[in-house]
Amino acid sequence: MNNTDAEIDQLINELIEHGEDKNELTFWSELYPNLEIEEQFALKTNLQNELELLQKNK
Amino acid sequence: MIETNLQPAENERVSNPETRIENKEIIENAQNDRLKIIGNVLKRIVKNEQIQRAASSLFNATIGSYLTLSLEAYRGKTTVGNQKLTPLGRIMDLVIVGTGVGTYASLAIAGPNPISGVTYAASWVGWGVMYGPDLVLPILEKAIKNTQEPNSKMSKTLSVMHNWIHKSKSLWFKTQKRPEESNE
Repeated sequence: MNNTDAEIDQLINELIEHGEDKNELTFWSELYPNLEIEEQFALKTNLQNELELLQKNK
Repeated sequence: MIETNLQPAENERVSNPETRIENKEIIENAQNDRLKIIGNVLKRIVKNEQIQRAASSLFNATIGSYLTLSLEAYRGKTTVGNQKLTPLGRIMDLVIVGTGVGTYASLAIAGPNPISGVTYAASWVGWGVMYGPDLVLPILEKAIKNTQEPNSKMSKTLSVMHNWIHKSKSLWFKTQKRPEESNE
């Protein structure tokens, strides 16, 4: 697993702790390494933004 | 009646109702945005030559039932009633419908195209996860088998989608509480 995959998995774990859907995010975790670069960027941005908002709303 | 001292579990993030509603909205918005991402992935997949060949060879054998189901879904007759799809279910629904229907630009289905515009039309709710797997799994299997680059990103993407479509349908629908179980 490269560093970027580990980063995504970390994001996903934190999001699940904040109430996100585990099954859906596990699907994305498996799909992520096979996405095109722009798709990976879009997904990572999506997850980062979501986590930031949830953390601010604590 | 025994009264219990209802304390939140230690690992629960205790929050007021307003925060919970806001969090729910944040999560739903992010999930909706991820549907758009999967839509873009599907646009790429349906252009794949192996997918088109596999769908073409298999589609003709099932065209009657496929068209019937598609039209019924558009008319809303084959929706799953009051059941709601989970976030994963919505993705799987889009993947199944997109991989099957989206492959055929010439297919005369009057109605919303789930791929172009990536709109999750209500008439398609549940159609994919109810009827799609049996139609789409062979397409994916054939495309994966015929790919000339087994370790390519496309091949692995198809494999991931195939594996998830194969999983239990219980993952795709939200369980509904019976009226007597709801807290009121």
